[in-house]
Amino acid sequence: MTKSFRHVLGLLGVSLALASHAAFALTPGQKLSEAQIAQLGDLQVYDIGGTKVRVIPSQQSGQQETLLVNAQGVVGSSRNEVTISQASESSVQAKLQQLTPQPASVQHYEPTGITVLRYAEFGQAVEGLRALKAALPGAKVRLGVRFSTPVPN
Amino acid sequence: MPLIASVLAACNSGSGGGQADLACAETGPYACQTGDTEPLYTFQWALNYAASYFKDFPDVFGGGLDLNVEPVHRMGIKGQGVNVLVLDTGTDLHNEDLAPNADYSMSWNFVTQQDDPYPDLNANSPAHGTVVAGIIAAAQNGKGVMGIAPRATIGGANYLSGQSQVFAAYGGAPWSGKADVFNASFGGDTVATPYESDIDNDTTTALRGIKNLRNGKGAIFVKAAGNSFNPGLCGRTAAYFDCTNPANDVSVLESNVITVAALNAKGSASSYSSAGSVVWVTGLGGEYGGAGNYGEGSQNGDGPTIFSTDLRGCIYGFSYTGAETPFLRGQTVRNGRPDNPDCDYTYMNGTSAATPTIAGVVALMLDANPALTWRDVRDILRISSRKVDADYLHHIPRKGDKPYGSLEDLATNQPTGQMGSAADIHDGAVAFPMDLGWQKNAAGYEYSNWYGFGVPDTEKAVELARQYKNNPSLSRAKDVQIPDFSEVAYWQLDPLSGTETSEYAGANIRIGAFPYQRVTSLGTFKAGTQIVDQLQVRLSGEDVCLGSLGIAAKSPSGTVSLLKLPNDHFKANGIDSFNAYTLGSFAFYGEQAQGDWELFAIAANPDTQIEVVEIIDNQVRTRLSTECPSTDGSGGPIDFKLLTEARIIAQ
Repeated sequence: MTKSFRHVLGLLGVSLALASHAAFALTPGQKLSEAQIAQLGDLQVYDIGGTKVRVIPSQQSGQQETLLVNAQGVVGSSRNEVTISQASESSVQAKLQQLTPQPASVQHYEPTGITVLRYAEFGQAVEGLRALKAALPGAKVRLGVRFSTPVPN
Repeated sequence: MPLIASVLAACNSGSGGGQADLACAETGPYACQTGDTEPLYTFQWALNYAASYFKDFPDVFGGGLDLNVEPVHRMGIKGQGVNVLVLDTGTDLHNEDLAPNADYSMSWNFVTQQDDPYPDLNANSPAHGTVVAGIIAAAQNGKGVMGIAPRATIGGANYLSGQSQVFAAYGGAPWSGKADVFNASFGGDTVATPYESDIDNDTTTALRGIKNLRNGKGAIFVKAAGNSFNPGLCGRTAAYFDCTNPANDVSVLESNVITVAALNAKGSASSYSSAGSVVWVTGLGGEYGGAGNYGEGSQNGDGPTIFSTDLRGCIYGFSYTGAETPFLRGQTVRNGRPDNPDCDYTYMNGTSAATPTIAGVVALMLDANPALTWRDVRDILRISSRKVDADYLHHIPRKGDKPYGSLEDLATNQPTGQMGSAADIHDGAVAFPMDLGWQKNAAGYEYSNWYGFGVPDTEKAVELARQYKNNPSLSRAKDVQIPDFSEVAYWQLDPLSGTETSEYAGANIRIGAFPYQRVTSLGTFKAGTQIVDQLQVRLSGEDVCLGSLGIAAKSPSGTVSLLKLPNDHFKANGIDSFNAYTLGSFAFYGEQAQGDWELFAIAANPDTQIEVVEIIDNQVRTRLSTECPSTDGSGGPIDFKLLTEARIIAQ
């Protein structure tokens, strides 16, 4: 389903990716001002199911998590993982062989019936999400992004 | 004979005259004894209110209640055979009161990658998980305190130091997959995150996965509502309502999550306890315990909290040499004996403390009947709950001068002092009730946004668990039915294009300026011949001031629920863009779904700014809220889009 206002999946725009170093620590749930976002430079934008996120380039290679900022200016974090539930491990594996991009790793949690595919980078995870949604229409396929950091309460 | 009398006859008289299945089920030195065997039991008012040390301090105690666990303990039901996993900051399982029940094969340390979940001492509130664990399962051993389920098996994991490992923590790993009950005394309720969208924060998927545990009966997930009943977050001096919303933590939208609010020792909501229509039941959390020897001081409406285990020693933990009260410093003495000489015990408040009181009750229920499904447990908690604080709507908050149930004017954004009711939610109204208090729905269940269905009575809950055991047809093994969301209303400033008209063909289309400063019917939707578990409403908007938007719903039976109030904390940052932001309500639980459901926008005045009080790096700061104007630069109405979707999760 596509909507002009939501449910758009894919890359909206590619920046020059000349982001400068963030001179401040970034954690999921943190609200950034427009000025702070501007300091991050031109950011690559994705619209994933109607949620617009901008990717904050990592300054370190091998980072396991991708930092993002949403339309509200809230920082999110993704491990570049696509999760699949309501589909057997074997059916996921069978479909996965036919798809690109290929994940860097696959982990199945047998007790809870959840499969987690990890991609090398966020853009690949977005592509993987799109491909897996099409290939597994009966499954729940999600791209994991945390926009808050739970605390003791 | 009344239940209490029959239990006493079976367990205490030794006559053997009761039914065989009510005989003492426990062996050992503490068989069928209450927590009176434990030296700090007198402070555990959640287990025995009437005999509490605090009864002599009427300023902070009186009019409250306990969980009525003693009749169950006298039956010897103490959580035997039930595995409870505390996902938290980590747990000191070596504490003398936890060690007897500790299970390292149900534990994990995400920092060390070992099975000892001792917390990272540099993390936020490292003692927190040790306190939580003791409230559930501190052993009955003549030392310290006693947990509500003192013979349950307890595991811990410092999940808050390993949040990226949600699928392992939520039952996917061998250690977590052993859990019958998860205790989650944590949360985050300040961001409008998407729900049931291509983007997921992983907890939704993980929580649905735990329904597969316990051989398909589902593990029980007990979650704190939060401590956000804080006026500063929405620019107020007095706390008339929760300025955030527990539903902002999307995990509580899952029907298999039991969301817990907190009650204090005077039988009222703990002053900090988050309120909202996703609360299921209320546990005991107390106030702050900031004064007196044991937290019995009464300054500023304070009162006692919940006693439990702590990190060992007087250096780390909530009890330490520089702590606030003599007990926490290990300095109190009663009957010539020091209470807490090694600082191994402490007390704590919060929905964090209230949640494990309910997790403990659940462990006792599962001890009585291990075959209960997650739906059974949730139902029994509801059925066994007691209505508390019946007249809270007419009370006045500290520093306030109007009752909680007052109408708030949608133009001035101020309480009027005139009491409101569900009848005030109608198209064209210019004020809204800040709370509706206890309401009986068409299924006959009383519900409150503050307390959910109330405070469980453990004796009744265990008796019901046994009834389910004797009559398995009472059990509900099937999952709830979760349909896709349906479009209810779409609203924008300018007429729709042809494409947009076809896109939103299923929605009630409205054109024109956004209706700030009034209540507006967004439209209706129909539901089928089902029984309601939960109503969910999902909002996607651009250039709509989320902090000025409230949402109410009316069921076909006429029950009204406030799912979100306007003038909440989203106003502080002028949030005007959101996608798939979702609210839930259990106020309609058990009603027939069939008929027309009506949704209302309660839109306040976005053009007033508020002074927001924030705590950043432990410093209190004030600032003006970010503007979110209702008009554009030329004075015309703001161009905007708002899509409202809804669904009924059915039983």
